[in-house]
Amino acid sequence: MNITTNTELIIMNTFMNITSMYIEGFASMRLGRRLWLIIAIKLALMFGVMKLFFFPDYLHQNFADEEARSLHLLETLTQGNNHATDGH
Amino acid sequence: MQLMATELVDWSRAQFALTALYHFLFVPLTLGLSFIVAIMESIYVKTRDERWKTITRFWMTLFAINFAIGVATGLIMEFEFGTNWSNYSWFVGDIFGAPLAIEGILAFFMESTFFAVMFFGWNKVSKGFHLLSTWLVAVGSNLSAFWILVANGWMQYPVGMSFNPDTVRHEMVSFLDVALSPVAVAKFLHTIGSGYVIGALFVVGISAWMLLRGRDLIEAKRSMAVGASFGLVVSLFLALSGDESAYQVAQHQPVKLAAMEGFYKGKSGAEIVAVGILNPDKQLGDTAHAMEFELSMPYALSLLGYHDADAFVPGLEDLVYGNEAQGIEGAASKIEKGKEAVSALEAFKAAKKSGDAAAMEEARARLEPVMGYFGYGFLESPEAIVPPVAITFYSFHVMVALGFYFIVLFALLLWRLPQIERYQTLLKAALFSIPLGYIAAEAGWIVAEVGRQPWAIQDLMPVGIAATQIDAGNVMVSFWLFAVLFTVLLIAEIKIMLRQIALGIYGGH
Repeated sequence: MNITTNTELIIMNTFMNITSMYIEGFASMRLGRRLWLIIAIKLALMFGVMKLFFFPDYLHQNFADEEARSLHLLETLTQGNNHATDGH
Repeated sequence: MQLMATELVDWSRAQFALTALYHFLFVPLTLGLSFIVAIMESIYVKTRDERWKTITRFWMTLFAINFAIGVATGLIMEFEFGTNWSNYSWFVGDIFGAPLAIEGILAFFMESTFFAVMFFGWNKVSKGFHLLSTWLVAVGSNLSAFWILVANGWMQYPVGMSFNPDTVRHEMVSFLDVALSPVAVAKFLHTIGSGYVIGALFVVGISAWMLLRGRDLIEAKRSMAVGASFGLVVSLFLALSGDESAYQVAQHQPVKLAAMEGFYKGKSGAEIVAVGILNPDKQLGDTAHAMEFELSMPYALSLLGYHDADAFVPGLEDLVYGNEAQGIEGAASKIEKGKEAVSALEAFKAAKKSGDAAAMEEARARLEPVMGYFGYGFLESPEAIVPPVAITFYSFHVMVALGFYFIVLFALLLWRLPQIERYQTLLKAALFSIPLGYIAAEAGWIVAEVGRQPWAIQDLMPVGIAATQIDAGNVMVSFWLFAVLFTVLLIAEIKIMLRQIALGIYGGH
């Protein structure tokens, strides 16, 4: 129990130290704020717009389980339900 | 309907190409500059000369800008796998997922942890630990690249797996075969080599600009010394790894090699076109000459592809139509086997639906010997195995020519280093060579990816089958969104980078 708590503490401390090193470090850089801003905007666009509206996981969204997904692919590969004419 | 489907595949392909090419504008500088910074810091720790510390911190700041702007741009390709390439993603199973997962874990734990120490730990940890962190960031970045290239190498040369018709997925049989596939290793070495050259060109180019401006002369010269030395070594290494890559292509993707050389009719003791212009009217099987103009190196293609000056190198026509005398199977025969594989999978599906275990086993037994040709079953004609020859040929020759130019440039810079500020033309050449490194690297990717068409997975799945049947309009919209996003990021990077460079070595970090 104590060992687990100590390990957890060490992990937490390490995590906090790394986090604070990042925050202090970027804050002290002259261009740190601009870089943070770019990273934040980029990630917001990628996950908040792109992933959400344009990049759903097709198989997970349209088929309930693994069996249904494998059946779908089996159908796609064997029924000529494809869009390859010349392979390109 | 057919036109619409073709449009969808083309937009999906264009979108992936755009994201991959843009992503690879950021990655190589990270790979190369991380090692150069580690070398500079090693010199600082060894000499205790504070000037080296200032130099290290300057280049480290530029590394940080590139890292911050480029980080996570590769995730977009993973989005695309799930949306645009769901057939492919399912079909490859955990073989593609495993290396990418290892890469993700490595990137997060190794790079992000030591990245913080490297940038922000200057006065918080010992010199030795800081240096170790800098080297670990470099090694970590390169290890990340390794796993990505293992995944890509598997697409070019699928090994270490077996196909399970029940799940319609490939399952990993040997992790080592996948991770240490000769194609993956050659691809890794050649790709990181190109990143190192880009890093070196960046350092010598910026240093040259400083020298031309008469700014921070001692620091610029020292940077130039490290950049040019590193550049010369890695550009020679790049030539060697390129030789190995070409050998692997000859063994496993001979159609790509033939396209790289615009080589239509096979022969023993085949030559390499050093400089040439393709005949745009040349068609498979006609009697027209493939080249309008060429300067060739006799026997070089046989040597490059087979390490034997007299070896027979198959041309596109041998590979498409077959060459019995040389024991080369034509694509028509492979298409027949591919159709048999698809038919066996269809029989498996019917047996599975009716719950007939014996028929399932029978279909599985039919499938196994021809599974290696599965992708051919979707091709309409033997000619479909030929990639766009002109793009592959010119990209390859641009890459090779620039590769040799870089060797000469780095050698000249080192030779003239003691009095380098007097050689203005050489300094200008170094400055204007920065974009050439990117052009060479992107050309290399075009050779690798366009040259392997029509395959998403070599011989197993053509690109047209790998794509998801979704609305082409959505793909088109997201293509343009990416184009705008990446272009804005690139402009931001260049502007921030130029501003930081203009501040100079002592301009603050």
